[in-house]
Amino acid sequence: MREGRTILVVDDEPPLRELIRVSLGDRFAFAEAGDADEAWAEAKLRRPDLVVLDIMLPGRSGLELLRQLKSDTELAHVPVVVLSAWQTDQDARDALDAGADAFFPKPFAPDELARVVDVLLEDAA
Amino acid sequence: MIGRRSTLVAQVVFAAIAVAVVVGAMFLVFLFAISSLRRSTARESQSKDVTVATLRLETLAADLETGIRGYVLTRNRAFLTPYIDARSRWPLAAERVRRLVAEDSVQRARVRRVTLLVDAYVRDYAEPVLAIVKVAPNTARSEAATNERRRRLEEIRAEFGRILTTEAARSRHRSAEARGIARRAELLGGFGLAVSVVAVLLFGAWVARAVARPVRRAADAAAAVAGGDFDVRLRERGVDEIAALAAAFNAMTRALAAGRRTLIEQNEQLQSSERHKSDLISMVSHELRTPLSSVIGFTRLLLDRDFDADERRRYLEIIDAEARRLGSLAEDFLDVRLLEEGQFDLELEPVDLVTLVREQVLLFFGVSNGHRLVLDLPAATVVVHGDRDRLAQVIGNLFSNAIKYSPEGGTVEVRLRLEPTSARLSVTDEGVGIPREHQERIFEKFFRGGAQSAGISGTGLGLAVSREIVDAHGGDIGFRSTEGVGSTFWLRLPLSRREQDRAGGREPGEASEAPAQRSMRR
Repeated sequence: MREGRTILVVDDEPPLRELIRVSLGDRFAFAEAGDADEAWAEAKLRRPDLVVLDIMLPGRSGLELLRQLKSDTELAHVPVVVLSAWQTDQDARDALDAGADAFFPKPFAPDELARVVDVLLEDAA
Repeated sequence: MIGRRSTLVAQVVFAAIAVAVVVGAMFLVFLFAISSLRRSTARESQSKDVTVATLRLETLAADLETGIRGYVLTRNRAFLTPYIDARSRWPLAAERVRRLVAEDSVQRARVRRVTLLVDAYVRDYAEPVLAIVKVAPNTARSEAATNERRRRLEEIRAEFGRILTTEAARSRHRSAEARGIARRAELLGGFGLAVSVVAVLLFGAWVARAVARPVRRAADAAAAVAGGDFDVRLRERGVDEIAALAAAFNAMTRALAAGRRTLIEQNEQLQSSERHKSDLISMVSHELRTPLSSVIGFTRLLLDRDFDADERRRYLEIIDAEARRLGSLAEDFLDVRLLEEGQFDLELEPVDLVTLVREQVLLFFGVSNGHRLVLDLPAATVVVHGDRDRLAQVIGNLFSNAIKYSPEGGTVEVRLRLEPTSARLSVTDEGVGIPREHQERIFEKFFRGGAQSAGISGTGLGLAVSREIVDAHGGDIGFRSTEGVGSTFWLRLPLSRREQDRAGGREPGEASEAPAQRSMRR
């Protein structure tokens, strides 16, 4: 696994951001954001290799940010893993339609998340 | 207007009577024509009778003459038989003719004249001739051939001829008259029939107009109503029964439309309430899942991976905090459910707010070392009638918010004031404040404003539950806030009656002092 990759974690709950960070381990560098605007700024600045994104964000929703990322020429190729505590099929469909590369309902299994992130990073490389 | 309206029954009866009168009049005219036809036919046949009777009388008169002449010429008595026979039958026959022409003055005069002439002939000629024929046959014979006799006979014959001619004219006239009357009767009959037919047709058309058309309109309207169109209306005009039908129909459609509106509104309310419920359930599910994700996730990590002691401790603290959050969420949801179902039972008792505030201050500010507390409480007790635990929950919620929403620390001022009929508690912080656009919504369930992004934990239920509790106590809750400067939340609770008496300046009674002393000892 290539070192020095950056993952942008977008969630409004600090404990969950920490959980995601710890789940993926210290192999990565992390950027964090609590809402969509902050996340967009971080993404443009840090050019992350992957984004873990919560749907329920204060202000603009995660889905909006997802569409924005996927329509940006510089960031469209960055894999996005979507997390949602809203757990209906429609949410998953909306996320995948908007360009999500993977979808996890909350609560999620940390190892599962780590495995999917590895696969997506390898595919992207 | 209503007075001039007649009932349908009355109108139909009047119309039927009118038709009957017209038809009856036509029949009367027809009957009159028939009876005059019969009369003229009878008069026509009377002329025939007169002619027959007159001819018979003339024959008798001829027999008188023939008998006399034959006897005078032959002196054979056998030839006298017609004369004798005629003389005996004459009076009856003459009487018959007289009767037949009794109503005809001209003919009557003529008949009278002819009978007088015949009587004169018999008296002045026939009987004298019969008397002299035996003694002087030649005289009699010459006498029989005299001009005098011939003149009388001519006169009689002429008179008979006039009677017959007149009667023939009468007969022709009457026959023509009878034909005319018969034609008139035919015309009248035809006219009467036509008028009757027209009258009956008009009656039928009128009934159709007065009854059938409105009924058909009502049927069409009823079909429209059956099809779901409740805005259809009938004109409330015409005869009473139809107008009443239209009015009742319109009342029915109005009631149906109103009923449907009510149903639609109720259905919309139900749907909205269902949506709200469904939103609430989704919200609850989401709110539970977020801390649960941390609890499960970190537990899984601790079980699966190795961490050093510090890391392990930190993750366990997160698990502990999030599990507690789950617990308080469960409490809040239960409260919300009780509030929504109206099963919010208060256990009312005299509660001293001073004591209650002190207890909550210890609970919240004892652990917070980042905030400076200014406590401004009356020296005596402030007793309200309330549920101790619920009021403690409200006060604790205000303290908790003051601490949570001033993460940089600062001063928190807690003041309890005694007003004439109420107690007013205010909690002022120097925290983040509430943005203007969020101020209207902060008492809504699950509304958290920007708190989530600011990393401030909570469910968005505290203030909603607090307001319900204060409302249930007959009090008020409110706030004043400037973003970036801080907030003041206040609540006002009505004083118990004894406390009001004291606040109103009355002599403090023994009973109202007692709780104060007790609470001070506490």
